[in-house]
Amino acid sequence: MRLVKNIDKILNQLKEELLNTPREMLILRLTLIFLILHGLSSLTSQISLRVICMLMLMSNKLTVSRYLWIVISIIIVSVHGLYWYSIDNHMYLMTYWCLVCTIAVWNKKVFDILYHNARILIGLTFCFATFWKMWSLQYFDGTFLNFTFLTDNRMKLFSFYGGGLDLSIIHQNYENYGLFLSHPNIEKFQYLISTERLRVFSIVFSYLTLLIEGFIGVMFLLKKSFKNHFIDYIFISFIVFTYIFFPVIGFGFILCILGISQVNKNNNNLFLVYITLIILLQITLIPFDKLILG
Amino acid sequence: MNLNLNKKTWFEIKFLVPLIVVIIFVIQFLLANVSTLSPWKGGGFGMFSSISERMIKGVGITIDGDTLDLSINIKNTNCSKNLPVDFIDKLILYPKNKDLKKLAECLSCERFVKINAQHPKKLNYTKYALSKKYINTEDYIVFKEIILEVRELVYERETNKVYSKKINSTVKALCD
Repeated sequence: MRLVKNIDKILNQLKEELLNTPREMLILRLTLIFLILHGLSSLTSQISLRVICMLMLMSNKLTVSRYLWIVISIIIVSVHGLYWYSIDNHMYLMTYWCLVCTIAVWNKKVFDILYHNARILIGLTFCFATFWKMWSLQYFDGTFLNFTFLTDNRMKLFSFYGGGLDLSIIHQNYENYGLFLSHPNIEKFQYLISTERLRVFSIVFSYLTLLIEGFIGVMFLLKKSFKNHFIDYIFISFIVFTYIFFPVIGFGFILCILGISQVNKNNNNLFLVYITLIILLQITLIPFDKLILG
Repeated sequence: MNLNLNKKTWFEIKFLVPLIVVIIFVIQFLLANVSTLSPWKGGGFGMFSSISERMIKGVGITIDGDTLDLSINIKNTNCSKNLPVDFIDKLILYPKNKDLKKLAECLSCERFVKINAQHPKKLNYTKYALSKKYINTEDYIVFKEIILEVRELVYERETNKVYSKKINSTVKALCD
């Protein structure tokens, strides 16, 4: 009982601390933490980036240092520019966001700039992703998701419950696919085993994803016109649902930072939900499919 | 939240980064649709939109005319010092004929050794690989010609068939 009281006390103190700190400082600090944890893949630049970010976290003055944010932007843009063809999408998002932070600290209205750009970045990213899916015939007719359900072991739960495939068949598909990939020179082709139910499920799931991503994209671009935060909760559900199955924590983290940045200063509840989400994202490392299906 | 800004900073603050996003989207979309860039890369907007599993298929032609499968690797080749570390990755994600030709030339006249592998399905297969630990062996082969192509996986939903198709031209390099 005492332990529960103590935990409750600590959480309340933390909440007070978070709510009393200027929002822009929190956003910049979260960005620095993100850069330390998920920064760059190149070793030498990652070390220099981490050292700079750690120094900046140590004092408020350094957190908003204009010149240090320029240095961060130069490092990130040059490394990502060099490996533009191989870096993941969250690395691009990280680059855009560091540029926004740099522009923001060079101006007086730091929070307003972060707020405005975060909303547009979420909107554009989701709209472009939706457009691309609509353009791709493989996605539009369900082929892409059907194939993904059959060959990606992170999607085992979908193939089992959504597609009605037996576990033995699911594993046989992984084996056939692995056989094809391991020596494509001698194997001209392979067959996978699917069901009609999985085909229908793939099409429904494809359209559902399109609908949700498109809705988030458009609503964030138009968000200025709306007063309620209904769309934020759809965005949060999207992050939770997606990153349980695809635990790319870096991407979830940067989406949460963008989410926090576009929350009004007077909306403390929504702000705390995003903060909690960043912490909860860590549990996506638990292999849920293995726990459920063995 | 209103941004009351003077005209000098208005564009920079409101639209500079979004404009960069739009430009990168346009470039990525063009390169992926007109050229050979993987839709998953170069901006990331095309992730989870299409199947983009790629591989480099390579064969070596012996002096006797036999065609043997190759395992592609540039580590420890004489030309590897002149090529970037991620050369193979770039070739798969954004294949260009001139780079593929460079790879074929890099592998030509190199010493290959036979490796046997066994798949869990008990299917034995043989490939010819280049590796430092084999360099000193006497039992090596130098191919008369190296033929390479970059292939992409195709899945037919109606038949559930998985196969690969060529992305760009087949490239050859002779060992003189």
